Amino acid sequence: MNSIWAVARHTLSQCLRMKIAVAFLLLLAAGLAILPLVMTGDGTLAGKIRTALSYGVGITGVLLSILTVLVTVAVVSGDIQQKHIQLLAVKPLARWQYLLGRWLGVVLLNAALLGVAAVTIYLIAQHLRGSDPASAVDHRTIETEIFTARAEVKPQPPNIGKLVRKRIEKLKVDGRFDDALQTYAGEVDRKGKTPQERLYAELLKQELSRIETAGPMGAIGWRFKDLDLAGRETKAYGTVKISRADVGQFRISVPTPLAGKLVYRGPVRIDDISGQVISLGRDWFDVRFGPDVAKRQHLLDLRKGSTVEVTVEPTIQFRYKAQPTVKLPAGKKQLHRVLYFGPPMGKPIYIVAGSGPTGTPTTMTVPAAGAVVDGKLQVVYRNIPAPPTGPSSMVFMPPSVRISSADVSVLYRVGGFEANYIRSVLLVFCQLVFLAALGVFFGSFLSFPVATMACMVLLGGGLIFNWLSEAVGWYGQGGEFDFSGFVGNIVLTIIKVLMPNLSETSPADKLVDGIYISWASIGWASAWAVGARATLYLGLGCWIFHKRELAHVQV
Amino acid sequence: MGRSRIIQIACLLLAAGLLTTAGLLQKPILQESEKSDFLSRQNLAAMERSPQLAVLTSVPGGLRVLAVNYLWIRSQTLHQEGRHFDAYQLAELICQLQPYQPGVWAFQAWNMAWNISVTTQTREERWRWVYNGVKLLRDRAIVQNPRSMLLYKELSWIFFSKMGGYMDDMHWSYKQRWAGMMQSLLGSPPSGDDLKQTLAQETDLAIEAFGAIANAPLDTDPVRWARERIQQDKRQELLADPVVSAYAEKLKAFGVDIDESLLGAYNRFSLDDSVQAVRIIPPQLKSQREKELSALINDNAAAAKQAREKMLAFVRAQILWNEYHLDPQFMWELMKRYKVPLDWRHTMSHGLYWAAYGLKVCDPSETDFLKLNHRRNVLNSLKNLTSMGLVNILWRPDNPDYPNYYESADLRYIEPTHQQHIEYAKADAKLKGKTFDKNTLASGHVNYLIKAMDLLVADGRIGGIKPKVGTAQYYYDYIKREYKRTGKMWDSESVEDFVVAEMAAEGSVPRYEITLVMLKFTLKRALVARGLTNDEKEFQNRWRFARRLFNAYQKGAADRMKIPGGFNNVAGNVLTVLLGRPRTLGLTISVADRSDIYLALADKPQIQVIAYHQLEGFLRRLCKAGGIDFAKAFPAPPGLEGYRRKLRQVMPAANPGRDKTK
Repeated sequence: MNSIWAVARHTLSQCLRMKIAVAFLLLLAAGLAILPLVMTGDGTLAGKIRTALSYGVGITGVLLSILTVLVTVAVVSGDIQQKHIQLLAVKPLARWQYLLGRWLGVVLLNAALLGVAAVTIYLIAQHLRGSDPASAVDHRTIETEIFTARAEVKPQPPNIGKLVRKRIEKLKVDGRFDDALQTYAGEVDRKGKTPQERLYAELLKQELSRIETAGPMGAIGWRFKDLDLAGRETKAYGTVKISRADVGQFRISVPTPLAGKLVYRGPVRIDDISGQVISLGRDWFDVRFGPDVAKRQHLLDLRKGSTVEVTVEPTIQFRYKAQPTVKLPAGKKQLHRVLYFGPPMGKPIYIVAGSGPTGTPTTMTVPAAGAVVDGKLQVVYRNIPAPPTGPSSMVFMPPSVRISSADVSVLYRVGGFEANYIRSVLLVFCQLVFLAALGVFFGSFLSFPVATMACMVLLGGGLIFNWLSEAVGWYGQGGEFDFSGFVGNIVLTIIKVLMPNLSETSPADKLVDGIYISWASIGWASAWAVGARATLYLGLGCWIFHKRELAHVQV
Repeated sequence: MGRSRIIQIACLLLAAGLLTTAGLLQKPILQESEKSDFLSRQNLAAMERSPQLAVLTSVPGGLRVLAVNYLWIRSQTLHQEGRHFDAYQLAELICQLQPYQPGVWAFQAWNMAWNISVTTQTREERWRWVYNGVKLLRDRAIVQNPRSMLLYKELSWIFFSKMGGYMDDMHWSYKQRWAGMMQSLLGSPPSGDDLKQTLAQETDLAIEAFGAIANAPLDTDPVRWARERIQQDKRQELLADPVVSAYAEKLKAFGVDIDESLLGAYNRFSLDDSVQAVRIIPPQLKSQREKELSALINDNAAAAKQAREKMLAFVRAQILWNEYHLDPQFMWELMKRYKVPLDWRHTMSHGLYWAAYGLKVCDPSETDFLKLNHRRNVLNSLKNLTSMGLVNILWRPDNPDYPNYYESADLRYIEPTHQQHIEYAKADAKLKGKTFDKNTLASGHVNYLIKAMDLLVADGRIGGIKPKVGTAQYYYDYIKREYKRTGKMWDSESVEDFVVAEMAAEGSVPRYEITLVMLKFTLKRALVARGLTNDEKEFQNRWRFARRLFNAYQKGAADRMKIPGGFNNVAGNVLTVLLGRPRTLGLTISVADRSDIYLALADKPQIQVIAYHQLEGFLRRLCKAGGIDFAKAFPAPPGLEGYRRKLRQVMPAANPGRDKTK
């Protein structure tokens, strides 16, 4: 172990002396320094923070990945090329110890650089958070959609198989099953599916479309379970700014992050007494208590300057993407709808009516209290026409709307930003650990330029794997066999085996959306997507290096 | 000769060939560069101003294509996912990596203004994306590609269709926002408050007023664009005038300089018509300092007034150029060219500006397809200014960014639009070797003139046997003569008959809004004729025509499209608007004049009662403020109680308290 550690330390100091490492270090420092200056986002503060986080993590990840590849390959293949390895070979140092030491050294370098970059990005984000938001909505977005960690729960899948079986039964009862089957029997299926399988697939598609579509005045419903909202309240101390105890109304100043979590007309507890938010500011809110509650002595005693404990009840954010089944005219992307939130089989607790955009995800925030019972929630979307705008305006029936279950989710806060940020940095670190192993592997038997190129090709493939897999198809547009697609798929398959999908393990998207990065996902990344492959590459590298003849005896 | 030598010679020959080819291509490339303005002073200045641009266009080298591809994919993916937080940034990057491709700029701007904007839910978010599109074209793309017709067309189209049109759910908020911005900068144009003033005199007044801004010290060299918010050398030039410098010194004591702070103070304290016209309440002066500043801003001594006007014109010209990239000279030129009082608070005026500016700067050949599109944009902007070019706004203290906004028809645009049509139509007919009546723009021209005739007839500008320019009969004759229109409708006895027949014609488009506008115009004219100019004949003519129009429309309209409430209801509502908000009809009328209009309708209490019911409280306050006896100025009309009782019966839910007392 000491030998490995000695090599690692030597590698670390060697890396820090390398010009290329210094160049990347300067590049990274410059990139992060100008980040807050050049990032404009979409004009909102939330957009600016998201851009800074996304680009910050992205720049760090890409630059450190390239640095890792270059440095690892350079130190390993350089030793062989410059014959330093022959000096080491005669020392009491096993070849695997040498390679592991080199790998560990680069990993330590990465840990240090990543740590510094992560702290810098965090400070930039926090600095921006302190700026003035563009609006109250902007403020809410910052506090409830960025500086948070939200669990995302998908709706319970509908039992479509059961519906399809019913349809088949009905076809059989009506004596139309054979006719339906006959429709598919005449067609040639390139994937070799039987007519029964294709009929089943078609019915599946039809049923799915039926239950995911709301016609004019029609509705779509979803049920969610396992919403763990217990103990998710947010607490902070606030100060009474204006007291109108006689009418049960108070203005309370609170820390900005807490104010951002409050919902207009949502519940809030003041010293454990439930009230309703009736007005909201950046660092204050107005609360009103019901006539009975307002008579409590504790509230009557509250004066200007009194300190109170403010508890914000958990909220849920419902996210969906509605698609009209017909093309809407230019400029008409909003459709009217009513959303009902309540426990399954129960009366809706919150009803939200209005218009929402189509073709893009929309998020609605409602208090969880009452709507979520035993971790269960039901949401219903009703497709309604736009209300008339004047005595002469006509009421047009809206087009049908389809909302795919895949585009529906409920989000709720399960943790803080800081812990999530640390986990996201760990994910980036996992990738760098893997790339160091990849560099060691290729450096152990290839020259510097070839090894670098191999690593870069794989790195690029891993980064844009999702896009490549969408772009490359087995078949041409007309359904005929496509040779280039065939070759492309083979290359993709090779990349898939050799590389983890770095675009999926990248934490930037989740981080800017405030989505909870679970320890399980890090465990999976470190153990399988990255860990297993890294171990394999290191093992292979050690084996090749062990077998490799480091010097030719010339007579 | 060995094999190696042969290879060497072949390579040398190849190199020489490539070098020669490159040399031959050099000249056309340079010519193309000059033609496309790649090497213009403006381009070089833009490059100098934005080191980022210089870096992005040179450093990535061959990787630029890859970077552009990646950024396109990322922007499209994020758009599909509904994540637009860095869409503007990405669009800028994509464009900067290929800065001389106008199509790329145009696409990105269009994407922001039309696609991304409609995915947002609040008017502020929407405005931001629409305006991001404008800014990308105006402040970036056109600076890089000053001779690209496409970019001017796209920019004009955003103002004309996105902001000025009615397709977008939130189009009113764009109009309000833009009107608010321009009001702060330019103030209201001089309005026709004097009822004896002719329309032509009003127009001259508006054009003359803008001349001060157009002639203010400003250097419009593209190299200097947006380098400074206020050009300091020009400021010094202004201050060379001792009257200006003396007034500027006084203002300085209150922290007001020759920049936006002057506009701020002027908009807040001035009692000039251009500011007063949009106020609901007079300026509130809270401290002694504010009182003193207000006195200075309203100092009407000749020297102070002259200095203030010069300073205001200077600041306005500077901001028009340096922030909005608008050339005040060209704005003025447009007003003079068309002899119209272009109200720059209207988005259509800017649609017209950018289309006309594109035509001027790019000077395309007649065969260029984009030229026809530009001309259409010019014509469409002018047409829309005819039907809604008259803007009135009122500041809302609760929401200053979105003032109350009204627009209505402005007949002064009819003749210039007609003349512009003729000019373009002649050019088109000549190019295509057709006769004039077969020109590409013919249908649009005829339809426009028919609409103009509707408005002119409504406003009483009918014309006789030898009609004057600007009357309905003149255009009616023109269509028959030049476009050879025939048929029953075109043989009507009078132009009024034609308008009514056309209104009821089978297959004519639903004309609810047009009819209401015409009724509003006709009745306004009638009420003003009787109440203010004592022209009973004109009143009777207009009143009769309004009734005829109303009946013709009601007869032909489907049940769901019929105007509710009968003719008296329409007339009562026009009276209500005339007495309550005359500015929305393009008039400023004193309380005494309002009283005259009201009293002149003593023989029509069924009309008076509608206005009285709605405006009683408002008029009472107005009279009190003006020291007028309300009971005498606006006596309660007979039948008021009956009317109110009827209303309560029709709308019991709206008045539950009174129902209980019954």
